[in-house]
Amino acid sequence: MRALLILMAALMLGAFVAPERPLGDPAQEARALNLFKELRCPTCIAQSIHDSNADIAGDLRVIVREQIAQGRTNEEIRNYLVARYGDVILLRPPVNGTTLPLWLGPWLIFLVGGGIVFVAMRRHRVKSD
Amino acid sequence: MSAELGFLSLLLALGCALLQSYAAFTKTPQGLALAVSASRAQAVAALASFLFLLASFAASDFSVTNVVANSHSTKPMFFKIAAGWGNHEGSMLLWAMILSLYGAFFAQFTGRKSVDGRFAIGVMGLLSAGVLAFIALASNPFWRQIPAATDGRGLNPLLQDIGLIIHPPMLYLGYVGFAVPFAMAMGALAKGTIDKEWAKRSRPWMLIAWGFLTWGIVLGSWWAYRELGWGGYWFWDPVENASLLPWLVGAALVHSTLVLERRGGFPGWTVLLAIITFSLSLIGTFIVRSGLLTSVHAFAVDPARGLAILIYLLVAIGSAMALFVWRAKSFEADIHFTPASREAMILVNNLVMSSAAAAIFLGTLYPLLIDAIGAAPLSVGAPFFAATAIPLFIIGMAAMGLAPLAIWRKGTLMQALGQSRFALGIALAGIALTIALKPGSLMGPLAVGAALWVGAGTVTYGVKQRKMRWTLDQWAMVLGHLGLAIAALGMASTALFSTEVSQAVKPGEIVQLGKVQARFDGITGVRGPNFTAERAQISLLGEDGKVSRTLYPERRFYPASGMPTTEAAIDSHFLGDLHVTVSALTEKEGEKTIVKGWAVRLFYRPLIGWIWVGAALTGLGSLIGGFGIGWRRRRQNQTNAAQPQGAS
Repeated sequence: MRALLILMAALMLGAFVAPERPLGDPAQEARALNLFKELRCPTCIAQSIHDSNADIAGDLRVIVREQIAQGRTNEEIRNYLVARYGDVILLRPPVNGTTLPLWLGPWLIFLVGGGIVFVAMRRHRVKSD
Repeated sequence: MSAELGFLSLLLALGCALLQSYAAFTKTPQGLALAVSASRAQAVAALASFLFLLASFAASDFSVTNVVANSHSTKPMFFKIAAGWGNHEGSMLLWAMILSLYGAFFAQFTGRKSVDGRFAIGVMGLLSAGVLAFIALASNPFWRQIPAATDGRGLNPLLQDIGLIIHPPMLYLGYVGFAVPFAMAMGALAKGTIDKEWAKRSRPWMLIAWGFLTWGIVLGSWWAYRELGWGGYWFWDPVENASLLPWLVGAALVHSTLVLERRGGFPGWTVLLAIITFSLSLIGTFIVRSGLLTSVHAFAVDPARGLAILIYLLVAIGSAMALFVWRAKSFEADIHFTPASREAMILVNNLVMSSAAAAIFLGTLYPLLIDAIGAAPLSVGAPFFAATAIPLFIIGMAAMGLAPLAIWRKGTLMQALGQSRFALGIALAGIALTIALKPGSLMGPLAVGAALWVGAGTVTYGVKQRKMRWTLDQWAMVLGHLGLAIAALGMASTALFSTEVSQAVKPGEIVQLGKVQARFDGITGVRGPNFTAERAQISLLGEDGKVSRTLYPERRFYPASGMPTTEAAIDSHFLGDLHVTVSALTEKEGEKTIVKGWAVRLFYRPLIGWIWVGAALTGLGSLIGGFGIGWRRRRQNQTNAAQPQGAS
């Protein structure tokens, strides 16, 4: 709830940047940094909140750190953010019906291409001389 | 005056381009000579046009709309001139000029020597004519405005950087360079046959284009590292992806052409790759310049122009593909090779590069597609590309380490592996060490292993061949592969072992990151030529507590554009970079923004410099190969041509 209040305050005040403090527990801080890299900065194009120096990215970092400190799991934090921003907040698109072609396409090309190469190679085998 | 002269030169270049292609397609000897001359005249006119544009920028001629929009009287001269190509219109003219230059050199050194080359001169002329007409009609950089403005409207301050000034010309030398193999492919299709000679004539041009493209991408990434946010070097941004696509397919192309040259294999596939590579270069330009994909690079967004570029693109790619479908069936090759021969390894390269390109193409366009069908918007970012492309690259690198040691046609796995024992040992040691240092990661150790495998495999090849006199091809391969191994090691190390800390600080306070101790000494206000800045002084303390180096990260504000930027200070070393940024902690009270304090962020990125050094080496290898082989062949041809005369 406090996170939501901070977010609302941030949106109202525009340029407010909460001082960012790393979490005391190094393991928790490492978790936070990894999570930052998966979350998109909503006002940026391709940057994660880890890489962006936009104000909103800073606010989201504060929220993620707070939720980690409150003992929430990564899954819970992701769900929390998806509920507010939609899937667009995730830099790793979820695997579902609409994203199946995206996730499988490249490997399909690799396997089909590999199959064609394999068959062609067998047909054009070097005659042992 | 220079704007009018520039426009006239542009029209002259357009006329020459049309004449060039008309003359090249007529089947008379005079036609060929005329086409070569026209290509030369076109290059001179296009170059003149570009220089006239730069002259308008140098003189700050604020009656030229383009100068008003993109320059400012307070800018340093160097950046004023560079602003000439830092915008849509200017960069299109740069693109066209480079195409004209390639066209003239190609006609002179390669095109006029063969039937397919002659057709290619015609195609180069058509490609030029299309772009020049587009510039003259829809994207004129010489447009005047009345009354003249009193001053310009500046330029994005992020673009005022040396890396970004050389980045577009370098990238365009790469993109546009692939027009030559594209035109040669059209020539081969028109002629109906393709042979080893075609590969010999085309490959130097491919290597030149690919080398420049590599350098262009490296420069862009180096710029992003120093200027954008907090030192990411690759964001998988749509525009970055767009430049990576022709790079990947181009890498497949130079290798498959090698098989065509040595063994006469893969002719149809090679021609298709040549068409796709240039098509992707065109799409890369299109994506940046149309604003179709919004990205940090879309400084000029104009869909109407995008449509014109799209039409150009469809005509060029469409006709090439139609010609391919119609004629390529006659390109049959009957070559035989074993599953562990050099040819097979190159096929793995081709397969991996094509699949990776498909993954990046799909990932870049998928959000648009989703948007178009009206589904809930989604993002495709770094985690997707890492999860898809990295395993593919690791597979490719497994073959890459083996390829130079595998023999043509009848190599066996035992033969190649037998020579790779040293490389295998190094790679396994690297994997074990990485697992020990960073338990729990799967791709990380494999990436380190793959990089070491390629590096050690290339070294093994070099040692084995040390008594020989190396050909330029061998130099190109060794430098290219070694550079790639170095870059891959830098990427893996940066991804696995980077550390960072961010902390709110008061003057005199020390921020600790591993062994690094950085003392925040305070902030001073400074004034640059066209910006004001808050400059922090950060002292790095040695183990004895004494100051070993002082860094000055800044927060800059450019009044002309109203944009604040973060200037990182970077302490670069052979083994890694310390990257320092400072940001203000502010609060709004009513209308005023009040600075409450300062925060310092420290990043340590081990081996990150190896990425650019390695990739630059790869580009260098390709350029040495391209220019060197091209030059030697020319000398050979000259001596061959001289001998019969001497005999008679």
